[in-house]
Amino acid sequence: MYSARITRHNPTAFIFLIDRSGSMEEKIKFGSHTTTKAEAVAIVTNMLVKELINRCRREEGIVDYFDIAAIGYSSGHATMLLGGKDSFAKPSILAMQHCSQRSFSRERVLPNGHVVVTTDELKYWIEPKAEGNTPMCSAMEQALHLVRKWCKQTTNKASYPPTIFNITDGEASDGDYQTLIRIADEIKQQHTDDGHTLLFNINLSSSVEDKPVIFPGSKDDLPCCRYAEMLYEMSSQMPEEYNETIRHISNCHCEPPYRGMSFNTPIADMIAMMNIGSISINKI
Amino acid sequence: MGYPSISQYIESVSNAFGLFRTLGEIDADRDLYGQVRFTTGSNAVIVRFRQEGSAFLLKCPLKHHPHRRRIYDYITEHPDSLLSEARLLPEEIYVYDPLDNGAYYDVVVARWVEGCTLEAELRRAVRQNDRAGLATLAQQFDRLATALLRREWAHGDLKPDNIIVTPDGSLRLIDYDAMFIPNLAGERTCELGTPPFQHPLRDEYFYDKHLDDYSIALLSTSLHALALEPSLYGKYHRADNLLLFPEEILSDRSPAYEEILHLFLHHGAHASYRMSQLLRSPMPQIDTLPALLERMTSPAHSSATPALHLFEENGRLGYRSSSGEIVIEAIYDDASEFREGMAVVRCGSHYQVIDSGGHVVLNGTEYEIIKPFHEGLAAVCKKGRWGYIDSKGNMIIEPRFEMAGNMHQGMAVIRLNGKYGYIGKDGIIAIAPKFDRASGFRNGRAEVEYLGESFFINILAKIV
Repeated sequence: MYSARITRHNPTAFIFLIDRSGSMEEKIKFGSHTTTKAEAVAIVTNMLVKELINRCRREEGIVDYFDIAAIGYSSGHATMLLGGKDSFAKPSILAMQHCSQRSFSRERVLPNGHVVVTTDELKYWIEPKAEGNTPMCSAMEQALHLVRKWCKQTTNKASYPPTIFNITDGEASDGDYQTLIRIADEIKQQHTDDGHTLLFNINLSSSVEDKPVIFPGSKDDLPCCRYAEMLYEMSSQMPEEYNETIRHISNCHCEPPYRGMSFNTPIADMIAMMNIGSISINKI
Repeated sequence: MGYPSISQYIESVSNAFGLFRTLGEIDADRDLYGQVRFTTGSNAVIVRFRQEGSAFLLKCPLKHHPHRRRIYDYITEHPDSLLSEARLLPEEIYVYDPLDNGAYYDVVVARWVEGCTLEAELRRAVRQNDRAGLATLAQQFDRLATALLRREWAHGDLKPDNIIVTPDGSLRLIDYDAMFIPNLAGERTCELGTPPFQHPLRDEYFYDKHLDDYSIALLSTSLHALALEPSLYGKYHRADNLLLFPEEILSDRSPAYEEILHLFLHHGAHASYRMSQLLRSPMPQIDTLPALLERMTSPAHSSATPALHLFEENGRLGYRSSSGEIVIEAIYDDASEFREGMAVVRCGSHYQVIDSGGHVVLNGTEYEIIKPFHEGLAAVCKKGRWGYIDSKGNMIIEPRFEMAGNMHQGMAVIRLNGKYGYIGKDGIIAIAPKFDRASGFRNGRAEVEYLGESFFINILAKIV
């Protein structure tokens, strides 16, 4: 299980669910800078999209090893941010897509101690946004629809199963915990011959005083908080193939199986989680 | 430990000042917009750069490989004409993560091999219907494979994309992450090659110098098939394979494989036929492969040799010279000794007439049976009736007999309407069919039976 090779005939799928509610306007530390949660999430997800495209770059051009979707949720709607209304986007199309670019100037401390300023550019397929409420249920329903359709395609039958990242900083405004858990369970039931869909829930925190919980082993590792428990229930139990890498970043000092969730997550851990969650890209 | 993303590596390559521990500043290839050009393999991001007038390849790993250092140390310590110069530079490149923290990572630097991949060269040759070029590639590959099998190491991921055709036509191997080296004997590997070029049973425990056996058999088969029939490429090539999928071959679900077998048989390519039979090996290790390749690449292989004799191997028949050297591989279900420079062979229900070089003189697909040649003619059965063909396959005597014997002293026994008689080489019935039994002529006479009595007759049908 979770061992299928990713080929152009057996791609895998990634779905990003991105909270774009008003609270994502809060400031958060991102390395040596401070920015909004919305901007930080946009940077990280666009970097991952860029990485997925780069992984597809071959001598003959871009090979479509992945199907990629992003769903933003705010102001009562869940909106597809990539690809068509109801579909995934291909890396070859995303690579050619015209979208805004941001330049980032960074101070780099060289190994010899000197400081240089470098400029890097990042294409923004996914724009940051922070307004309105948090229709997470709508986004999850849309993700369920996408992943169900994807898994049913005969060409994907033998593929590495889809990976979904839900990045949020708060509670849903359009459904209760039972509804979210029910939809999440349905998502996790969608499968290929190589395994079930993996659903990661990442709860962002802007406060450095909040103690993060990364890849807990049981509910005992969680703070006393129904929301954290709900995220735990929603999240996938991680396959043992992931244990070795999770062990390095989990701060719960627990034994596997781990849950694919994090609570009160700072950006550094969000990046680490998404790197682990996208570990399947090494199976090309 | 996690590895940098491609973007992170490229950032350091793009702004190389102070970020390479020993390489100094490198001049990476860039596109029209000044962006560093790169390609990605499954394990690394690859950049070409120039330094002191020479071109090099910089390979930045994207995932952990427990044997990488030892493999490249071995390559550095054991230069080999099949490989390009490559070395691992430990903790060479400084890379920043998204939070601006930096760390050093290993890289591999190799001398750039000029040329194009075998994949690209095959595409060109197929497009131009360059059969001679394809045949040359097939022969070059067989030579490379023969040399490779003599080594104590194995490549581990043989495929057209990992073979460079240099401007002088020689082949060089690239991408060494899946290599087996003697120092790693007994260990497991995390690299399993590219599935369409590997035996389905290859796993992490199969890790020794036989790693390339199956890939070699598959590539040799495919290249020789393309040399005979370039259109196979358009028919069977998919994005990830060349012509074949091993799993389909081993589960008898490969129309490409069946077509290739038939193609080799039709053209008398007995050695390639034998090679393609190896693709049904139940295990990744193929012990008979080195000897077969040695024969295929030896200069004596293609020359005709007199005095060939039948031999049997694994239930199949082939031909050996008097000195025991295999001249025609044992691929036939049935075969006659050579007579008059030709032998009749059968593979399945497919009859052929071959010469002593194994070349097909006649493909007898329309005949149910072909008998050996005698006095320049062979009896053949077509749609249940017998006639005679000459050595060029021309029908000399049309099939109309219920039975036909071999020509002896210019005459052959035939049966018509249940009675035996004799026919001459000109197709004219020399002795009318009236006998109940008859033998062939020897020393001017034949034994016949008529109305219960046996006696000898001469070619004029007189009792002697």
